[in-house]
Amino acid sequence: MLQVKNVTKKFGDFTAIKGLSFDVKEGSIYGLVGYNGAGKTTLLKTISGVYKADEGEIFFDGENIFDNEEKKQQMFYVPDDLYFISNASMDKMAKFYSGYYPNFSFETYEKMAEVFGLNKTDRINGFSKGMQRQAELVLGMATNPKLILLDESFDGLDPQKRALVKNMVTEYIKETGACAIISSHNLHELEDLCDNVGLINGKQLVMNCSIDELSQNSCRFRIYLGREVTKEEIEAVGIEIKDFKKDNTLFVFTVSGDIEEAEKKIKTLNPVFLEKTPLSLEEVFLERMEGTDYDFAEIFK
Amino acid sequence: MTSQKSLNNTFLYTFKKTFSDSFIFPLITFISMALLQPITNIIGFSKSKNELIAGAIERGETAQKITDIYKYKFGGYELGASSFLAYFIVIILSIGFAVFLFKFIADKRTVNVYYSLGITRRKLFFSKYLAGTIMLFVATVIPSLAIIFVNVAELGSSSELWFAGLYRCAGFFLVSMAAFTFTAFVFSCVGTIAEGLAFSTILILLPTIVFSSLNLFVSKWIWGSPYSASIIRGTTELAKTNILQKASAANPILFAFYSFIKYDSAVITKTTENNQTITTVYDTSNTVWSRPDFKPLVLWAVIIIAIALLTCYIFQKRKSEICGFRGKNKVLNTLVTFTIAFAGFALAASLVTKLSKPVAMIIAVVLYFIVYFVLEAVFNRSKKEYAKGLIKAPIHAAVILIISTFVLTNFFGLANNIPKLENIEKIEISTVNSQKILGYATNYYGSNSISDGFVVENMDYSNYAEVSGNYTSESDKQFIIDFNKEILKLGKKQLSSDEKENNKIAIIYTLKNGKEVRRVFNYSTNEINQLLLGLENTDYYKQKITENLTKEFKVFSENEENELSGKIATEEEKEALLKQMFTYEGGVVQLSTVDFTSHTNFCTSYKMPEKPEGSGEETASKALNLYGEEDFYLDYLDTMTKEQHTALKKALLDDLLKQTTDQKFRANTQALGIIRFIDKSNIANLESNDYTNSSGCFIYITPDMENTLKFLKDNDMMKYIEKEIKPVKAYVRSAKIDVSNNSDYYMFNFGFANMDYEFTSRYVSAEEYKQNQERNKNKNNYEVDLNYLNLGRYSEMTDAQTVKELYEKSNSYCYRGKGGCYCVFELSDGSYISTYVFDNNIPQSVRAYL
Repeated sequence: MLQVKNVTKKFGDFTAIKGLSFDVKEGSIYGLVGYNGAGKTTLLKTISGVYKADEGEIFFDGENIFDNEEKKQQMFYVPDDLYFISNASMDKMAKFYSGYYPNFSFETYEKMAEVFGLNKTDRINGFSKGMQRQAELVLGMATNPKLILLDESFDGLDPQKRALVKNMVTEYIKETGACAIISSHNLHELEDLCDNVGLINGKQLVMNCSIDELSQNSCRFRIYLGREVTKEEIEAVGIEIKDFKKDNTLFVFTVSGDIEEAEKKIKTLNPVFLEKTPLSLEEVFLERMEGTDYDFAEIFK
Repeated sequence: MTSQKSLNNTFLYTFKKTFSDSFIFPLITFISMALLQPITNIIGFSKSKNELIAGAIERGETAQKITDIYKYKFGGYELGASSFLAYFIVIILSIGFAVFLFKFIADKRTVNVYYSLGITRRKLFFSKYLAGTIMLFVATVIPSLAIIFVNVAELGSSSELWFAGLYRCAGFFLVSMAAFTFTAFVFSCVGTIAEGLAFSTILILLPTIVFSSLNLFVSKWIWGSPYSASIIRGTTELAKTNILQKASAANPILFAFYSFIKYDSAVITKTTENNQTITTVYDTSNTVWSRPDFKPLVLWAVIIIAIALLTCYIFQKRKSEICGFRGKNKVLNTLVTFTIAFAGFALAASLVTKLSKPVAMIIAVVLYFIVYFVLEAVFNRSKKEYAKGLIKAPIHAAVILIISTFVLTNFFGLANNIPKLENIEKIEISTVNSQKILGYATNYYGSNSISDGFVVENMDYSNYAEVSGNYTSESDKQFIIDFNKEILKLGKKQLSSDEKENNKIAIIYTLKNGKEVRRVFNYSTNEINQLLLGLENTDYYKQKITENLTKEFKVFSENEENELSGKIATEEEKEALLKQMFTYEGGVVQLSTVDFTSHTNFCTSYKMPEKPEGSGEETASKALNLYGEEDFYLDYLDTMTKEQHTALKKALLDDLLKQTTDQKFRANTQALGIIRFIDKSNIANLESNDYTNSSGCFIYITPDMENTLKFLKDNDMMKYIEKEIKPVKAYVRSAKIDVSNNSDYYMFNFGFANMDYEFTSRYVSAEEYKQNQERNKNKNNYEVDLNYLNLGRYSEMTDAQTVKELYEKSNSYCYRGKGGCYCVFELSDGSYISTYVFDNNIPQSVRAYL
């Protein structure tokens, strides 16, 4: 459905994202993770047409998406930094969006506003930050988009509304076969919501896989060898380990890639005890970002 | 609520939404235009008509119809004022309107919404631009059309009205579109709203700033530049030669401005009973109405369309990531930096002209780069970017160097080019003396004066240069060309303030191809001024004095002839009128002693006016309003026959034609007497010794005027000019003008006989002197009467020999040289007379006192 091909976006001399490529399939929710300033918002703005890619192309249903009216009418972007026409109510904004989105459904809008308990005639700028986000989500979903772009859209929502939004998005995708890209720092949330995930680090997409693949490809091993070994001795069996820690007599480390093969190689060390557990998204995120930790104890000494 | 089908035409939707969301600016424009145009116009018509009726009632005449005065009139009561105001209000509101419509692309949050909406960028731009265009069309054109219909209702339809009216409609619309489009263009290029607003304003004003700065720079630095002062011909200020106005066609806000002012009204001037001329008032003078030139409007329509298309292209390609960041458009940054820095450079260069050119230029360049560095710091956020931006500095330096080289070399000599003799049709030039015999005043328009009661020193602070004459003969043209070459040399000299004379000299060459070449020199030197006195040896001058001294006697002046035209049909009626009024054929001839203490008036024939007998009876002269409210009763006129009058003028003419400029202006001896011609309109000034325009034409009789002296002797008239004057005391002071030391005597009025370089004696009687001393005894110098006579600054000489020697070398009339001294002589009867002594004639014994 959505194909991001080798997209690079530069801001003057600064490269924000470089050579990003991934696909988002029909009925799929794609989670986008990365540090602050990694380029998630840049990518979403590039997809939505706010930015023009310096290199690469983005296709939606086989057509280049940039400044493509028909495709833009099938897509709704909810930015992190919201904007509403000054003094506008939800009704006024609904009317505004209905002019640009031919599939805008006032019926959907009415019902969803009711579900979220939002007053459609009040000034949106008088709403709380969370309510404004809900209002924008309601308006966006009322456009019946085939592609939803949500940039940190769960921020500022209370747990109940957060669950409601997640449910709404999941159900909408399931019912309509649309797709969504959601950027968030809340990795637990994404893990529950997304079926695919992309991790941007160092301007590039360092990971792009399904949540299932994620658990299959990254594991934490706990082994008991009955003797002292170093990280290098373990790696000597032909595996690359990360996050190596010693827990009393147990050695704990993570391995990425072919887990079965890694297990076989670890077993050549004749462990007395071996346990493997799949990593959560957050653990994967931290594992991938290893090397950027700071020794704060040293800083505050 | 059921599902509502939304509008699927995004262009139309945006177009309609722009109307509903932003009509307020066009509405204000419409209201302003309606108030300043049709409504002001209706009020103006009503007021004008009322005034015509009131004036007619006062005069007891039938009121003139407004249709007899105007062909059309667009302004209100004050012609031009409402058009002027409307013009600039339209520009300001159009900029505001464009800011309102396009500010969304310079804001991070709004651009997220608009650029991700289901509409292409091109459609988004054009729908808003087109809606704006239509709204501005309605707001500007409808009130402008309304004013045409008001005129049709008041004055009737005419081709002049429709041409000027349609020009006005198109002009207002295009000016608003220019402001609107330029602003839209800027907003599509910049990153912040503040920048959009500032850059739009500067870009729209760019030609105005650059041309004004260039005008300022050129006028101060190009010697002879016609842009430095306004030129006056007669009583009319000529259309300004000004780079800004000349280049108005290239100016987005001024391309229609001057035509708007020009075509604000068309006035009907009846030349004869059946013929009339339609004129417009332009640059304070009436010019014959001609169809407005629509070419600049067509050109600007094309430019506006081109800029709109370019804006759309930029809008489509816009990198919205620049939102919120200043200085992101390098081209605009450079343009704005250059414009502001150049304005600073030109201002500095124009203010430091007293310094030598290289020093002044260094100061101006330093100021340019200060502005440049400051603006670069504003546009660049980081030191790295700032340092990178400074790479452009050599380019700026090169541009400034090129402009400066052009200006300092007087455009490689082109600006000082003198037309070839064979290409010149005629020349007009300023004079440095009054040429009173031709009826001209000297070039002292708007001047201030320092006076001590005896000597008035006029310093020309005005921004005007006055031209006169019509020099067409080969030798006259050659004389002026040679003079022009001489005055051009001044531009290469570094003159001290003592050497500079403040008079302005303008030369207008009218070429055979109809073009004009103007030169204005902002200052002069005494030597150059002395050269210009040679104008009195030209064919033109000689021809004019010949005409003036040989013209036939007239019973009525030209004004009277015009007054009488149509009122007196037959010779009998004219005869009847003459019986009732007094007349002076050929005006009055006055012979006077050089100190003016004794003067005798002659006329060739005269009639005393009849006194009105009883109330309500008026003489014909009063009824015709020929002499105002007062009749004149002059009982001390002597008669001079027509033959004597003719012979005197002939003798004078022969003498004047032979006289050299040295004899006229540097006589080095006292004049023998004064002969004065006073025309009919100035007969009230027979008593005045005031050497100004209103009191007739003074000619000093000098010893070289053989024919005149012979006539006076032959006709026993020497007695009228001869007087035994015995100076008993002399007071001297240097003639060097020193404003700072004379501040106590600084006055804003004058009225004495003396003029700065063209010196004429002032005579003060014993009685007058006494009265003045009494009147001003207890006043400080700021309150003194203008006639206050102060000898405090003079050195007193009592030695009889010195006094005699000084008096003999004194001039009553001359063209003052550098240096020299003023003398005031106390005469034996207690009266005083002021004179001037040239520097080389000052006795050695007197020099110590100066």
